Amino acid sequence: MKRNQWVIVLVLAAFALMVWSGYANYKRRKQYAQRQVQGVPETANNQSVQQDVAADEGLPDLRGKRAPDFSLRSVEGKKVSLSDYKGKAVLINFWATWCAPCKIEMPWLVALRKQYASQGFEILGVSEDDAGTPRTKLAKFGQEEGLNYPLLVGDDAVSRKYGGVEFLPTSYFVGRDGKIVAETAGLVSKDEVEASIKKALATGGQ
Amino acid sequence: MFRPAMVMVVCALAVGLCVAQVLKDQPLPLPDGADRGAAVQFLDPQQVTLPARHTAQIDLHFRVADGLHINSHAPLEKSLIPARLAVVEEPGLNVTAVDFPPGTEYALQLAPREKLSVYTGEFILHVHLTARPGQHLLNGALRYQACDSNACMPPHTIPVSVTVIAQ
Repeated sequence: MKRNQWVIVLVLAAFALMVWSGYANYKRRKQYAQRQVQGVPETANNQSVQQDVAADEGLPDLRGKRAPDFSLRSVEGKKVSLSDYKGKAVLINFWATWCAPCKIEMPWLVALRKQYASQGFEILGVSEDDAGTPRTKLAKFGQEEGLNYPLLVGDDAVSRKYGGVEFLPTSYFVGRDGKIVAETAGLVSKDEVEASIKKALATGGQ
Repeated sequence: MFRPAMVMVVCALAVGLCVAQVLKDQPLPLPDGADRGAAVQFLDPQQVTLPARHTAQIDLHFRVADGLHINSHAPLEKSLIPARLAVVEEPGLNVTAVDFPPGTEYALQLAPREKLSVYTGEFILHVHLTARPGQHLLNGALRYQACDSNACMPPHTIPVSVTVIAQ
């Protein structure tokens, strides 16, 4: 190839790279703008935006997959496994005592558990506090917040099974068949939590 | 027509522009693949000169990434993790106090009545100290816990290091 042709190829390649980077930047900014959507009435579209956002925030898309099983100690010291709740709809809620948005959704979770427990719904609150946090501190926190569902002491292995849980709160909604039907990263509205619970309850048993 | 050196320079500039274009997205809240712990950055100073054997003040400048906030030194709820500066003791350098700025009131979008006390953007810590003549290293660490409008990240610690020249 002649030198002039090489020059043209190089310039075209540089131009293509610039176009690509501009597009990549535009795409990211668009995703960010979507994430800022607030106060929009909940619609099927809005929910799909929320789910996309969850994926964008580092949540692996586990929807449709079997929820990874785990065994953890409750704050009372009892061994609790996800498989203990076979046939039930389960909300696995990762939280921490230092997480302000987690505290905001807790009263909603308490109310929703009361409302749907008779239909076979349970919540497992998995603490993401430091490993050294005493169980008694977690238990006291649960009492103060009036939590009516099991609080479990989380560990890295379980977090890794659920994609690392980089943001709190993070919730996975498991259907009666043991498959994840919805997932959220960050605080979402009570209506959205309830919709996901209903979805989990609607799935058939194993 | 084109000299190879000129072509290389143009290509290098183009590549540089591309990289800069992509990297300028990094301050976005909770960016994909970014260092998710680096919600706060220590800006300056790297070095200060102050009078020896007199009480002096160093202003430590920090910046919270766009779209994020951290709890102030005095969160409104006891379960929240406050911003804290730990300083390593060094002979000849005596830190007597650290002043934190008051937090700004903030509420999450889904709970507008639940107020938090936070820092956003740039904030300054005033470190009061005395130093013996000579060069010292003020070593410390800022511990904070960051969130955006809906989600929180685990607490994180960043190093703070300032060369102090006392004359």
